[in-house]
Amino acid sequence: MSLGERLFRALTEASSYIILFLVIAIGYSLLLDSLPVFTKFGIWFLFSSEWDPVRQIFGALPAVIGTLETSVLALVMATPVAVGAALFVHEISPAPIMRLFSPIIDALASIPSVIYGLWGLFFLMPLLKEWVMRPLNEALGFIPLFSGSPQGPSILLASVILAIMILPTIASLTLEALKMVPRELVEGALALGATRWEAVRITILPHASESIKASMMLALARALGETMAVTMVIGNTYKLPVSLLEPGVTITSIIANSYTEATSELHISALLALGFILLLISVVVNVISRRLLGRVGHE
Amino acid sequence: MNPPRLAKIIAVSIIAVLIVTFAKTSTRGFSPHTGEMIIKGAGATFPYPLYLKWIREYERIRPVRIDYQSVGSGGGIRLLMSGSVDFAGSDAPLNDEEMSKILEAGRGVVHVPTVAGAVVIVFNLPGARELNLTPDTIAKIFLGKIKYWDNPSITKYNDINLPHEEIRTVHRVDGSGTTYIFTYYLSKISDEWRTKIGYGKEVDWPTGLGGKGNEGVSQLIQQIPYSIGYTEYTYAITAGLSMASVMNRAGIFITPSVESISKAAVGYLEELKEDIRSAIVNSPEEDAYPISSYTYIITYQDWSQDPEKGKALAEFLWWATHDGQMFAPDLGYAPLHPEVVKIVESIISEMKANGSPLLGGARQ
Repeated sequence: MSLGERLFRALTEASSYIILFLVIAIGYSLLLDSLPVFTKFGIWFLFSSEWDPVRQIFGALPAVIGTLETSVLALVMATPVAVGAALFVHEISPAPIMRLFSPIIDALASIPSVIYGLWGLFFLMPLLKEWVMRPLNEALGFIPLFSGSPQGPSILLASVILAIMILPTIASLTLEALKMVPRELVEGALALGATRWEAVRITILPHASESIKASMMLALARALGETMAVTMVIGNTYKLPVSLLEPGVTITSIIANSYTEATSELHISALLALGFILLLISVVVNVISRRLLGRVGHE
Repeated sequence: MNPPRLAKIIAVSIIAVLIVTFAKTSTRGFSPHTGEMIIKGAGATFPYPLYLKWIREYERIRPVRIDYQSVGSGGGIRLLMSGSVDFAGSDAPLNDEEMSKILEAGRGVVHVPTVAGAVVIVFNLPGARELNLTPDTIAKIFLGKIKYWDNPSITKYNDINLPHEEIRTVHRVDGSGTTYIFTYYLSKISDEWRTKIGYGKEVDWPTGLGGKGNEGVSQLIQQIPYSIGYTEYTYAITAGLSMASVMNRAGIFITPSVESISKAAVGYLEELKEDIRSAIVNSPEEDAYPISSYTYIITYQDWSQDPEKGKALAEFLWWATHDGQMFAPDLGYAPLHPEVVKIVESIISEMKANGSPLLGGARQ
């Protein structure tokens, strides 16, 4: 190997190890700092739902559940819309619309999250409260999921905002996946007399489904870590979320809210332990999405 | 994956663990060396606009540079204890645990109240700009015991027509001096609050929505009809929120104002002489607003390790609590009562280096 070649190899290899180093350093320091809370409360830290800085009692459950609930709900709402839009643009719409689609998606993706938060609070909240939350509560209030008295800030509002924020991720990745489906397959299906919908169902969706799943995982990872917009609209009430119409908390929202004034060691440790838990959740989600993407590559 | 790569990954992991461990044990008390006299402070956000004004005015007349970062009271105290700053701004005095921790350094500690502020009850009642509330009612509302606006304990003191609407309470969700003062007040006036909730910069609220910062609370209140919450007085004034009058210990409904806040210390002069950390909430003084409190600058008493810096800081504190007070009212802060200034003078005189006071001779 020439010197240049060797240098190139060494530099790129070093860079990859720097990334590995960062992940391990962050994870390990979070773990170190969360030791006090785990030694004090043990595994109960994960299952207790009390958060009382005055009495120095900390439990992670409402934040962990709130994080998972808002993110999964957002994914459930965003995926059909994103995949539907991508399918329409790729399969049905005339070319000019397809050319417009990507810039619009990019614009949606580039809005800062604090703007989503403000918009959610001032525009979406009153609308959602009047036209979705109240009717749901009146009609289905006997189901715990829709019980309580809706005031606006809630798990549901946070999930809707998150859904809008992750829409671009799923839509643009799905569109890329659709473009990779061999045209001959679709045309073959159509030539055999399949309708548009049948062609989509039997050729495109099976072919692109792994990519779509992977895009969902990436979107989920984004939703799990989103802080600003969620903090602004979720209502920040530290209790186990029963009803979607009631306020809740997420891991990132409680960290953002509490870290400036957390003076006791245990309190800071509890916040960092939440961070460690979130890191673990994100790693799991990312590993799953890698697996799915990996399968796509091998096909 | 072939074996040599795996070995490298393990090596990188071990290096990462070692570096983190090393960093955690070696990053205490680092301070860059510079020639210029710089006094560094950090802490409470509540007095930040006033401190900024003071610093700007003071730097004009004295050859000194003062930095103040508004990182929150808790953060300021942490930075002071780790030696990263020379003074901390805090809305609450150090508690006993923090006191014993800071005294370990062997340099003593001084609390200098700089200005008084207040927590006001803000509300969104369509059609009403004024509201009278008794202490007991406030506690019961935030405990979730009084649920509707037409509750007799509210209507009794208000001539307006109050609807049968649910009361939506809003509190600060981030740790804050504002919450500390408010919950401290509630603990003073309500046994139930003291035993069930207690006081602190962040508490376990029995009910209601949480907003981040004064602006978060204020946004929620403006968005949700029939809501009630609390913010700093200065914030409520600039945001134009409706503020409730609160019945004080003399049984009079007091509207929060610079004057009524300033008065709060008068009923507590003896206690303040004894311990400057004692609170001025729920003042027995007739025209005092009850949810008032001081914000403090906290620093070390003994400056033997850097007498020059100690002297500069003591001079700044003296100036701020005397000439600096005239800037307070315009920014919505209540100046120190003249009697309190006298107590402050004796506190600043206690700051010393190598056994002798930093501020020698008669002042001003």
